[in-house]
Amino acid sequence: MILSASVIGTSHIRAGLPCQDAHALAALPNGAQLFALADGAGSAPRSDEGAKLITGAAIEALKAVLAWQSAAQTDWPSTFKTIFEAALGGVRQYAGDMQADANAFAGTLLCGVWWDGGLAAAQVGDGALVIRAADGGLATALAPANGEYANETVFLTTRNALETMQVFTASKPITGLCAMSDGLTRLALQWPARAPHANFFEPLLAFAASAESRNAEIEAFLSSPRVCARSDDDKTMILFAK
Amino acid sequence: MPDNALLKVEFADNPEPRCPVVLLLDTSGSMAGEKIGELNEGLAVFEQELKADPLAALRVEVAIVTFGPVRVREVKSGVGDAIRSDAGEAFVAATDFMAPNLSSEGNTPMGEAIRTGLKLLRERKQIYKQNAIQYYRPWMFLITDGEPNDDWKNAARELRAEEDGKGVLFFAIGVDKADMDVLGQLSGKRGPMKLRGMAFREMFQWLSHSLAQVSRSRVNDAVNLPPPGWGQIDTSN
Repeated sequence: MILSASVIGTSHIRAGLPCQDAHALAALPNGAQLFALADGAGSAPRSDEGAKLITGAAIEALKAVLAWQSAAQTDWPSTFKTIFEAALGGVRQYAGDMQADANAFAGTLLCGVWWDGGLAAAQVGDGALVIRAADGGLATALAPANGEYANETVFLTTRNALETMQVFTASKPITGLCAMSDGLTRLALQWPARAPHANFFEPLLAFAASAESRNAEIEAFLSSPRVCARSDDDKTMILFAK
Repeated sequence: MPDNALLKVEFADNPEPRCPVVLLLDTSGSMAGEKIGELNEGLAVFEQELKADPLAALRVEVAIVTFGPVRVREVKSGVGDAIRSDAGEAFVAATDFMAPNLSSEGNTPMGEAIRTGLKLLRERKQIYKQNAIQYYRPWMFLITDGEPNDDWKNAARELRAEEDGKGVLFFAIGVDKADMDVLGQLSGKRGPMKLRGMAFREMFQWLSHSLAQVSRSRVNDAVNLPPPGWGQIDTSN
């Protein structure tokens, strides 16, 4: 079961800003799940559009790659470079059409593919991806950067952004995953190791494993007072569990 | 799934990231009278505004250095006694900040004040690192109505090196007859600003709102600071 939600943060509501997070999903006929999330830069005037563009372009690029090769056989580091370049190209093209600066659409990107025998994912930016292996062990597959300053963030449109791309691959079954934007990482990971907080993920993955669970419940959770008291930023969560 | 399944989700207990700010305040003899009174009122506004923003109140940490003579001030009680220069004692979270009531005396050793502020910030960062606390780039905010009477050029060199290493964001604010030419030679990144009249209150409102924005920002994401209604960028030098 795959669940997902992007919700606006209370600070964005107060400031009259739109939700600058976006996500996109797609399922392939062979059962593989594609996922992408983007978090638009707070200072970029059209980053809400940018985040939607970036996630849409990433999913299309992933589909194109997997249309003619199996995920297990793919050379992911070089493929993700192509996918991220395609997403950046999509932003630049759209900005060009609009006669705007691509930086106006700045956002992060975290995307990947889950299949029966493994997982491949990559990010530029400050999101996180936590996975659960068949033995139930949780691990941080993609972590927000740990620079000198809190929340040091590279956006897809930042110069040389692709040099900071992190890639994770697993060639064993992954039974659960949770991808999240920067608005959730401090609630979900334990600093400084950025290790998964088990009491955060285990109830969520159990929830996602139930066929009756709905996206609306994840939305309500992400907008709940106890979450917003800890983080007033936009929040995106993509949850998958078998 | 029962409705309350997500109530079982618990959160990681991470310390809040901190945003340290040092105020370098000119309390020399020329500040006597209306100016020091308005400065003190501005500090009280700063305290109120920071505490009104729950997230900023947890994340912003304040230290005050006055000159002259150069003194690090106790900012937990509102008394504002001079304390030793120690980053462990000089900073308080905005939730615990009590604006001191400052009086004026002495001359204007601005260079020594800048060096003291930079030292406090360097030490504060060490404390954060030792305690695995994340932090934002520190701010240093200098307010003066005069001209330095000490070796400010070496202090400016030290400041510029710190700025080049992205170690500090420095703002210089000139009041009344401040020497804007000297203030223009301090920072390598940003020109000084001239306070409009006695608009200390507006300036401190701006500072607290700006810090509140920074304390929820990302480092490589430009922060759109509110427009300063209390002064103007000095472009004459």
